Amino acid sequence: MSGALLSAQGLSRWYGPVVGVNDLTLEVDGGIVGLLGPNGAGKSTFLKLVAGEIRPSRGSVRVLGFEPFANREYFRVLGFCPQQDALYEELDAREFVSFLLRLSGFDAREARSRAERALERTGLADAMLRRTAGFSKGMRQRTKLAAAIAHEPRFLIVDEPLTGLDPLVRTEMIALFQELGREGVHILISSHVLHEIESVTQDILLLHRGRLLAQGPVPEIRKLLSRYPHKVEIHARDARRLARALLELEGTSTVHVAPEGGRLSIETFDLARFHAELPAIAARERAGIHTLESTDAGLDAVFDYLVG
Amino acid sequence: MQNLRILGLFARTQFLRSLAPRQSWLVYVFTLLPSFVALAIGLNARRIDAEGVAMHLSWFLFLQVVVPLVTLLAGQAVISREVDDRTITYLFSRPISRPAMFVGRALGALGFTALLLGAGALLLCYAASFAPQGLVPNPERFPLAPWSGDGVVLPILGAVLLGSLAYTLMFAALGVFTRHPMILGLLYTFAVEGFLSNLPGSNQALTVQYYLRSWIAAHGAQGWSKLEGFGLADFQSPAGVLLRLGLLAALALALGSWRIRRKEFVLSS
Repeated sequence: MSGALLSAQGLSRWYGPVVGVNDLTLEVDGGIVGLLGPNGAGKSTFLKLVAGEIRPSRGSVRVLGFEPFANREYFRVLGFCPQQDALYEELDAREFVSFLLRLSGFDAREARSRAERALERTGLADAMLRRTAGFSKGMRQRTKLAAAIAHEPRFLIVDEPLTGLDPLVRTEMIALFQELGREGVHILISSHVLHEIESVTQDILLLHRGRLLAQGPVPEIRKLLSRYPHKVEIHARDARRLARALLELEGTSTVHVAPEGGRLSIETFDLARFHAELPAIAARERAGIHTLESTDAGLDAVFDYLVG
Repeated sequence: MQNLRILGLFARTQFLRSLAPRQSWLVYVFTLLPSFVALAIGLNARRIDAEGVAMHLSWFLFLQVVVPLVTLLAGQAVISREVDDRTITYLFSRPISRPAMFVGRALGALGFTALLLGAGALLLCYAASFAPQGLVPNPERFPLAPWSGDGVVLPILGAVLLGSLAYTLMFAALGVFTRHPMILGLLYTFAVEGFLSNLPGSNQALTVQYYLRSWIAAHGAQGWSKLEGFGLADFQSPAGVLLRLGLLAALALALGSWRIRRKEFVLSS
């Protein structure tokens, strides 16, 4: 067996005629890994399979050497923060987290102490004695996350944790994921909002229609996409003059000058050459470049290319 | 040891959860309804005495309708409420024994239904004691203390507790097997328990109601024999009743535990 954190072989899961994930074969080494895909891509199904909530229809999945489904040994090292907002509404946040900790084997006193620490860590110190029924979306997410990390799992699964959060809470959550990652917790985090996940990790699994579309660091994936042009956006004093010169550069496929005149959008198949030649061209043409941005360095662009 | 601890934790939380009026208001309404009916009859009836009101209402309304309905509501919720509320994910991603969880929750629900229905039965008897046309209860004609050996209250209480045991655990197991335990439970309550138990012949022995009736017939006062369905001669002995209902309860727990061990609960996103 490989030493991978997570490995799937021909993993498929369907619900009647509906395919959730389809013939996934992959290995994940660890660290923080983003699971990306649009709604209906199969992210939640994949996470449920990895979390041991459902079993494969075909193929297999192993995490930390365990077969996840209904595996108590695996659940000792797993933290799972599901997508749904459900909490035990009659409990306050501390009772909720404590209850789940007691299920993880801690005695009442230890569970309470750990629950308080986890809730403090997720920013709910002031609200931990309030009933969860009155919690906002952000507070619910923090409560779920506290419950998922309170027993100090080795592997944390977080399903769409940033959806619907205000920017401040989102930033805090991202910081917490990064902190957990630095502490050595392996994290599998899903999202369909690509720029959000990008700030957490550059290591992604890209799902589409239940299949694995791509896997790896964003730049590596981008390299694989040589058949797709790279997009670069330039703001320059004389954009039209620069555009004419760049059109003659080998590898350039299209150049678009914005109507207002100062902005250029370039698509090139040879990004390295483009960056190498651009300074000389700009100087020769006296284009006066103000800014240069590779607009498709983000996951949005990668995703758009891939699912086209 | 760990499983026993989990079992106890779930039993306690399930019991406390069930007590919350927000979750169980319908259960409380069903349980109290016969007492109000008994009180209304007691205050107005001329030709029926306290024993008659208590026997009729406890058998035809409380034991045949209220006990199955209340136990259905409380029992099926043991698992299905976790599924409906989508909280089962939290439980099934923890290192617990699923059967211990199920048994704990089922026993918690049983504690709740037994306590509630037992109290409801006593309240019904108290309300009935206002008859006929009494404005105050008549303790001489109808002793309120269930241990007084009057042949009315004790048999009712015993049958209610036995019914709680059998039905609650049965419906708890039903909640593990199907996503729609309420529908199936209602069908069972009215088609099997309501209909089959009142048909003549040995098929009655397939219903819980038959054993509850047997219990009352064995312990009850002479007045019970005047009620419809109590004229039968081939009732089970009290030991037979305890044995069969005990086995049924154990079987329900065993089946529910077996099923939940490897069952998937697919929650839609």
